[in-house]
Amino acid sequence: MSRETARPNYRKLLIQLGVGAVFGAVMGFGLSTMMLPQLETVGGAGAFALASVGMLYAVMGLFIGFGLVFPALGAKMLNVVDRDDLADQRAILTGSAVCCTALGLALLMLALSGPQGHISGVLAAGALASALILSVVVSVLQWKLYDELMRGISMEASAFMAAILFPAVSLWAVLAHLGRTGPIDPLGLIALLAGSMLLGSIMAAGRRGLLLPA
Amino acid sequence: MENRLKDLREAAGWSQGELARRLGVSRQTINAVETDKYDPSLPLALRLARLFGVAVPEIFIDRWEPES
Repeated sequence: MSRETARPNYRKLLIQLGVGAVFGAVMGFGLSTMMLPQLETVGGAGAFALASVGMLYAVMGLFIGFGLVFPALGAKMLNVVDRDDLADQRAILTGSAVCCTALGLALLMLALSGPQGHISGVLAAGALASALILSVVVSVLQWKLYDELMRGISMEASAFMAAILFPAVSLWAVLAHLGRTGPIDPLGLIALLAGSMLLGSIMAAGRRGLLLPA
Repeated sequence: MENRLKDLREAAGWSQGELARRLGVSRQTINAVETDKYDPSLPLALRLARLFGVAVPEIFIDRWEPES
């Protein structure tokens, strides 16, 4: 009976964490110095939350895309065994990279739009609608490429998302109804939706061991 | 569920990727099964059994006992 598992590649994990930390630091610095003043005039906390989630998606998408364009580096940065493993997953990862980047940029644009925003509201709404349609189309096309584990994780991620959203939105709505907090902020709600989708995916992937070093 | 997949795979001299290719699933699926993080579907369990020439209970160990 096999109870012994392969020794995790901690060197690779350190590289991944290091690259992630650098990207995170750059992202945080950029958000706080360049966009914070603009976000405050546009929509306050909701806009800031949306911009943060949008940047997370965009950075993730660009990170995966970078790994695909430069497979030698990608095999070290992404959670794959080697270049062959990366090549096997190329189609799925390409779809993920494109959708994450498009959705991230659209959320960023939306966070910076509005009556006092720096980006046209129509342009931002169009970008988000396009990103959502693209995500649906790519998801439908990729469903055929998924094996049973990936399909299970995809459905589990949706279940986790619902489990996060239902109590969070309900509590927010109850508190707003009782006058204990402000009304549901549109940009904050979109940030919550997009954030819970990301969190649900991480939880589902982690549960199946996909976040452990390959 | 506990299983002997890693032993059987290594005895056959296959990598996780090689076994994944033979079964038409991803390497992550093989890894998740071997590390007890995922129980495969019945069709995949049957395919594994056919590939290694053993019965399903020889790969997957279920310690459940019926109540007497």
